[in-house]
Amino acid sequence: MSAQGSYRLGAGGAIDRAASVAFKFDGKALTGCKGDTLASALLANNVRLIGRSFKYHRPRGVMALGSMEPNGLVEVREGARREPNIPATTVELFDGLVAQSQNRFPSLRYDLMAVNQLASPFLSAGFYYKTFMWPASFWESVYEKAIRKAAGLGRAAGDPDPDGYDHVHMHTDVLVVGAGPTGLSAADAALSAGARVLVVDENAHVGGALAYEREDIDGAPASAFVDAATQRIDSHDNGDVLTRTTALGVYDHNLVVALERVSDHELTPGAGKPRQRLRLIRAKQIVLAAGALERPLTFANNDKPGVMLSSAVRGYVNRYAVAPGRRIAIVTTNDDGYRTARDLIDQNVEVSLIADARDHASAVSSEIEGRGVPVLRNTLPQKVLGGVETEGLALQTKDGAPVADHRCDTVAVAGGFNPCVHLTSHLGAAPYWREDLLAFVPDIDDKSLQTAGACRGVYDTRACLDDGAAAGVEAARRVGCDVVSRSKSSTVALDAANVFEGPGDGKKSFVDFQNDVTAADVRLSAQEGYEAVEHLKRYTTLGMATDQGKTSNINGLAVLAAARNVPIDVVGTTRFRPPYTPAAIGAYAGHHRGKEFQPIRRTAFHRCHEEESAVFVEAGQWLRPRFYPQGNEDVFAALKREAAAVRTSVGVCDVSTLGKIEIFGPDAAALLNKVYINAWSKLAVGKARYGVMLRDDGYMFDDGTTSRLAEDHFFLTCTTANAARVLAHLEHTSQVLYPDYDVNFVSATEQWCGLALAGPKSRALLADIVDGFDVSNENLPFMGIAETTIGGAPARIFRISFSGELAYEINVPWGWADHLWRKLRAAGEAYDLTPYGSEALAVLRIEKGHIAGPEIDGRTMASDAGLGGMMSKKKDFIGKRMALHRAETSGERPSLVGVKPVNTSERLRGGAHLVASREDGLKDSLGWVSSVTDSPNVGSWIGLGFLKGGMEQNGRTIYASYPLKDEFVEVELCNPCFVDPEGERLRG
Amino acid sequence: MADTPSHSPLSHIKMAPAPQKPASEAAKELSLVDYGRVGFLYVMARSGQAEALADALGFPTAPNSTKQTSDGVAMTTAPGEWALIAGAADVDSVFASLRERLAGLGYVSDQSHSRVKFRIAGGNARALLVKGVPIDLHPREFGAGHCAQTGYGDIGVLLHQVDDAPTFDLFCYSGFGETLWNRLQHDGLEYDVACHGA
Repeated sequence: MSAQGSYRLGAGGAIDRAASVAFKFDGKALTGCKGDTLASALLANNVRLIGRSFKYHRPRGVMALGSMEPNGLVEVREGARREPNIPATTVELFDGLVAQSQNRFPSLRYDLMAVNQLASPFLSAGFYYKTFMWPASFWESVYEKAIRKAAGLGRAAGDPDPDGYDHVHMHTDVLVVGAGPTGLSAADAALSAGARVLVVDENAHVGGALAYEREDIDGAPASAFVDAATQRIDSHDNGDVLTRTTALGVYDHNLVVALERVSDHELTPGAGKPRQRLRLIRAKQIVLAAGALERPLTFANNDKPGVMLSSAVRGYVNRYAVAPGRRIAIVTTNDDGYRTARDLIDQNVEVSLIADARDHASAVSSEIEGRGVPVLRNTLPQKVLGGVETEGLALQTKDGAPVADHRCDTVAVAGGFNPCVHLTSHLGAAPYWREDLLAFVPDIDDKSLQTAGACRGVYDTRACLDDGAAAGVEAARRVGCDVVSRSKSSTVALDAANVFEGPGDGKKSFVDFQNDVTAADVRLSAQEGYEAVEHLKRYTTLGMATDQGKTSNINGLAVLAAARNVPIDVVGTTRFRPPYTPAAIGAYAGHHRGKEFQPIRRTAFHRCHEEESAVFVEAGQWLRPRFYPQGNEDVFAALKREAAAVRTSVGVCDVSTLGKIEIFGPDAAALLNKVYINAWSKLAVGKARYGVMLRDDGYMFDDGTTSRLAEDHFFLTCTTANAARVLAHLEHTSQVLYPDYDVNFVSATEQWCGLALAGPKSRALLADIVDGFDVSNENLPFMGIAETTIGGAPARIFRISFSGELAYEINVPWGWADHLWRKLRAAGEAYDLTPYGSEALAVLRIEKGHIAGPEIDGRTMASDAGLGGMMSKKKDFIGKRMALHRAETSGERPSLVGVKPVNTSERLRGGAHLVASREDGLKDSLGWVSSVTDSPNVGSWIGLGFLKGGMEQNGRTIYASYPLKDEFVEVELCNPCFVDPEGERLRG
Repeated sequence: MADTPSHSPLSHIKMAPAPQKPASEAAKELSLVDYGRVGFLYVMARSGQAEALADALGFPTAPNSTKQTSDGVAMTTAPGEWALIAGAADVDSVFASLRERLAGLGYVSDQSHSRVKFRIAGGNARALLVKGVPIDLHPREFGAGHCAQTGYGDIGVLLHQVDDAPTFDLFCYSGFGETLWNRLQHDGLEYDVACHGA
């Protein structure tokens, strides 16, 4: 007996016996070797019961190798790193690994929920649909909770994922999916032809199926070929081989998304390493060498621990030197069972019986029979015998004649092969049925994707090597390498019995192991009319588990075909969809989580705001100061203090985020005439003007002030949110609509940072900081601009106002932000200068009745906002015709009004409907409230809104209805400009 | 710009300057250097003047190509548009001179403050860049002297391969400077990235 498991064979395997690995399963300390998977290590330790099934809580063990495993699902790791539903066959063993069985209570061996099995006649397909229909209110409150508790797989970790995930972009001429003999041969050939090549394989090892076989290539062990080819490819400048990397999906234009498990074979990721890496691979050519998966047979209790796929039994013996049992019976429909028998016998593991569904001998069957293994021909498995684990096998001849029960502890099942058609299915190519191969093979005619080897039904190793080479050469040729095409290998008819299911009623004959779907369920589905394959899938959940039916789909289709009495190709297949194997959401998210969800964009004044204890708000990607609390101030107290300071003294606000665009060229003014509703040709150099842009459909798009710095040089500002869109709009207008215009644009948003200096004392403060420039009303009037310096910093000063007060916007280059802020704060002490944030900014502009985002919401027209008079009658501009057309034809449109509550203690809410009476309610909404604020200047809440009839209703009393909070406020309609309606302050 | 101290996006982080190492040694590792602000002039040709402008200034015309000129490195960014990278100290004089030489041919906008330059160099430079840059950086497709307007993650960058070490320069908007720096530093951890000021 070995310290690394009592079922460990004395010799052989690709494991490192010198390196013991300690791990725990369900709390029990066990030992395996380096090179083991969790599954092989458990089998070596004679742990055969690994989990309980999803619905019936039936005992389950390891059935397969690799990612196709439907049964041996476990929870891996602990705490925040705990991950459920991981096939033990895909977990590479490492020191300190902790794994647990799942879906059992109180323990794996004595699972009380297994009583579900007794109820299985009631839990058949469609059970939930039929049973929990009434009363409907019970579904959420009672049924769903109970069902979810009883059914299900493992538990996800409740804590945030502590690990990181990367995204990596890759490009290659030829992407080869699968590093088996076909894939390596394809890669080698394409590389030799001069192409750039990338090989990905989901396993930790290269060689594909060869890694589990004892096979020779050209007189040497296959591993010699595999190692040499891998070395050749990987060491080449233009070649790469990535293991532990699963091609999850193929998308349009040959984008393949692959998941690399960088650190899953270690206790924790190494320093700086991500846990997993999503590789976005753009390949000119794809060679799909994904291989084939062995399929089981459907018979009673075929899900019991101890029932395994024939190729898996062989693989555990050959690669991991583990005997899956002491006495192994084999049921087969083809030669694969005998290949398994041969490798078992060679390792002195007892093969007690081979039941072959065929009526004839083959070369390998005769060889094995000659070595003394009893072979029963024309014989099918009927039922696995035993309690929790396999203890024997009941058989029947094909004619239904009984055969004596057979005692064994393991049943190896060889039901034929399913080519991996998943990735071609992602592209929408339905596979077609090959009766000679008893398999669906890919049917894809694509100029940039080829299938090769076992995934198109070529099974012989030599033929796979040739097929791969032909595909590799062809791929290289298609990317422009100078090579001559080679011929592909021919497929060879499989010597196999056309058998998918053993005799019996199918009630415990599992088709989909992971979703507990039986042959009887499939037949019931057909009987109840769900006989289309897509209906079958949804009615029974066949193929919908985390393994996506890798072992189950074809057997399910076979049962359905038999039930409908049609050939299997008439039944057809369902579509496989990405991902090929389950992937953590974190891998898809990559860096897009938490504060990294979007990149943070900081203004040049960011550190200044931090020093002033600003509270920031995310405005798109920007961080903007929301308010600057003093002491224990909350947001309302702070914004009132800040807004009041602007009305009475002077405030400073960071307006750097506004979009800024430099426009050059002799046709700059002409272009502005097209994009703005008002006229620009006559704007004098040194002056600014407010402008409104429309969309093609006549609705408002954006607004802002634009200044003329020279005859052929304008400086446009637009809203923060539309900065990129406005630049794109200008480029589109000049490149597509008016290509004869001589005009250039460049974004200047980040070149210039800006502060608004607003309030009655702003001029005095500005005068103190500019380098000798005359800022008097005469020299720098409203809508005037100045190019000067402030303490040596180049500055553009615009006399514009959003707040309604005497105000200036000062722009300096980014790096001078700190300098400007400190200079202002020092000089501002004498004026009680108060920094104000976006909250106070909003208060001030609502008080002034200036429109902003809530008013330009894509549904409003310039005339709605009281700006119809700006629309030039003398020129054409974008949106003009639709704006005029709509104004004439769309009837009475809501237009801008001010509202304030009659009872000044009541609050208003943005989004409230304006209605005529409480009785009419929302039946007759006359408009809506767009922006509100608790105005320190007015002394109550005030709002802007849009109302049918608009300002003609001035003075009327109506109601603001906000049903979400059941609020109903009597409001008086008023001028939307609540402060200085004559505009004396900003012009003074 | 006037010669008075001004800050860059990473001014508040104290970083040691990059050590001077022989090229052979530097090639084995991965370094990330913050150059802060450099001279960045955006040059635009007037309608129909792209070739004449390129001729006059010695600018490249092929897409994604760069050229060393007496004014600095000129990179094509769009048809008839270039970024000209000059020394931070020279930018004012180059700007003034270009304005004169461009009369009738095009316009120049000083964008030096809008961008920050980071340099990534060493044997693992490509391994780091592919974590964010979606374009093909294989030497067959993108070599020394190539440039591209692309992105690192969600942040737009102008990428320039300086030499075959390989050395890459990234220019991004100043507002994203700190975010991009932190991201590059994080993504470079597994390659033991050395981070320095210029």
